[in-house]
Amino acid sequence: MAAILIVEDEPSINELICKNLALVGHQHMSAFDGETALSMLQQHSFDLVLLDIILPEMSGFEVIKSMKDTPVIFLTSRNTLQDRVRGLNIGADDYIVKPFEMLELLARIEAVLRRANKHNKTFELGDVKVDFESRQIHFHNQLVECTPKEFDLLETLILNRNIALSREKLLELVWGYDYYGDTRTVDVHIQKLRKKLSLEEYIKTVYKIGYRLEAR
Amino acid sequence: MKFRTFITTLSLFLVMFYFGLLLISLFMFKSQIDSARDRSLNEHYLIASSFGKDLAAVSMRSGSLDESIQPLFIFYTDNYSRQGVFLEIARDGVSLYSSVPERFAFSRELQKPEVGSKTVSIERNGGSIFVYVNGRLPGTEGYCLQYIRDISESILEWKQSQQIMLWVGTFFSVIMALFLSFTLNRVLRPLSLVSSASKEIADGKYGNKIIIQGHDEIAEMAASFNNMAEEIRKHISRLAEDSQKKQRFVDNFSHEIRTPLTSIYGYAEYLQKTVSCEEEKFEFSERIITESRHMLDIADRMLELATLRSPEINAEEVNVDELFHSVKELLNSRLAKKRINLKWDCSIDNLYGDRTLLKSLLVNLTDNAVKACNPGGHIVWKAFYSPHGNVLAVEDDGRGISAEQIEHITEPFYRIDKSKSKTSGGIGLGLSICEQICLCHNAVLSFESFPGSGTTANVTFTTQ
Repeated sequence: MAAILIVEDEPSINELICKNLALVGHQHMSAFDGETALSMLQQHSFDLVLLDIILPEMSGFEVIKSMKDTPVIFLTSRNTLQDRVRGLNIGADDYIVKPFEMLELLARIEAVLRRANKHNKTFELGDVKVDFESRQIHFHNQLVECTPKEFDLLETLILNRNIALSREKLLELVWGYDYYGDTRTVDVHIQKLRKKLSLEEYIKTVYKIGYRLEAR
Repeated sequence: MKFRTFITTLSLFLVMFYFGLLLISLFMFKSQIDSARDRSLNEHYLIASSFGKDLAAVSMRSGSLDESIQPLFIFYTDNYSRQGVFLEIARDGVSLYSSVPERFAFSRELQKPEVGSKTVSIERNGGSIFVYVNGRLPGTEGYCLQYIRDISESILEWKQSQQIMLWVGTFFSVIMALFLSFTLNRVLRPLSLVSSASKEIADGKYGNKIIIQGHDEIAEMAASFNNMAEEIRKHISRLAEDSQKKQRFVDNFSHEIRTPLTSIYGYAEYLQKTVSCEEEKFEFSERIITESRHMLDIADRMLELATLRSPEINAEEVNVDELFHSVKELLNSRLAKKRINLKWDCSIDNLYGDRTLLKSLLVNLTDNAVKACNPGGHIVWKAFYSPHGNVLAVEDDGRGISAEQIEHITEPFYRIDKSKSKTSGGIGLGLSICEQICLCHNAVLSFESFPGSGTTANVTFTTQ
């Protein structure tokens, strides 16, 4: 759960990003131009800034120059190599091109937060407490035995909570690109998690897509 | 080439010059020798005649020829050895008396000249040069007088003057060489200027000019060269500008497409993968539809713009009043929404052009005027004659545009205020299309505006 500033001049895209961030529990504020963004940065402290490059009056590059410390991810439709290199050289932590996939945006945000050590280290879900650092799961305050993959699966579901993830996607995220197994592995592990941790109400099966961890 | 010319010319000069000097030198030598010879001959004649006379006189007195010779000889030689002249008396080929000093004594074949003639020869002997004149002693039988003169000195003089000539010659040659080099440099300098200017142009520096004075062929060449360089520079900067324009267009177009796609993709993904309430479902799918429609608009306008680039217009006489009426019909609702007041003033009857395109032109220009106006604003259409051609003008009392912005407004996708125009559906292609329509009609599109005091768009039809 981090405080994120969204600087994007297109209202519908700005709102889209807000919605995405809300799904996984981040707090967010919106600015539609550079000036507003800078004044908001002065008034509040943010863990991360999502910054568009093409803004009215002041460009994203100018905004980042007037900023200090806060991690920045450029989120822009400018896709040329020149722009990407410039963006990264000017001090951004990452650079995402529009249109983007929800999961990718969230994953990159998580990565930047982790590097800045502003990510969540624990999570509570029903009677379950998960500690990401020590890789321990407590159920009713008792340590539960879980295989590494079970833990990874739960972690992935938590990081992408409220978003439906396909079995293929889960296989890719948890078991990696090189895994040649069947998606049934995913189903089996989901079942185990549900049983062990009484998460039937939280880990929902989504029609035609896959699974979704629902938590607010 | 300059070096070759220099070397050739200089060599030619040197060869001629020194050859000339050589000829002069030889001529002087010959002249020296000849005059020495003549002089010697004359002197021999004089000496021989006077000696002969004296000998005759003395021998008559003394009665013996042989005895008289020696004292007389001594008398003469004393006299003449001071002048460097030696005498020798021989008889039948045998030398009797000689004043030739020891060091020059040599065994020499004494010639026996014929009667009435003399022999002359010039020979080197012991480091010096002598003229030998041998002739009979008049008034005697078989006696010969040899006259020997040392001409080493005059030969030496000749040698010295030859040396001086050589030195002077060399001195003048050096001056000549310097002068030649200087002149060649000056004359051929323009060539090296041209070559270095060419190199700079090849490197991409197009601004250089060669400055040459005068009106000769070289100056003409420099002028032509400057002209060519200027044309190249203009051409290259035009090309560079065109290329930049294209790049900007591509960048802008890419951005314009990606932006609605981001919403479409994002909202569709959101609707599919998350739990949302009915309201959200409706709202978000509505956005998908709006953005899709926006993309369709872009496609249509792009197509319109593209087809205008190959102008095949159906030109005819279009009645201005009719045109104004029909376009007003099209725009009625837009005008009403903002309570815009539209009126027109036409002082020409017809415009020559494509009816559909002219309508489109007027619609686009007026649309912009409407967007610029505040509610309750005014728009005036004017059609009038000017010295440059017929003019169609759209005047509004809206926001106005700054001079800097006017430069860019006909660029594709350029919008002055993106957020405002987005809500009213603006794409930024309207004025690009207007510009193309004007080009098809050989008309010029220009704007007069000042921020805060309205804008006038002028279309001047120049061929009419």
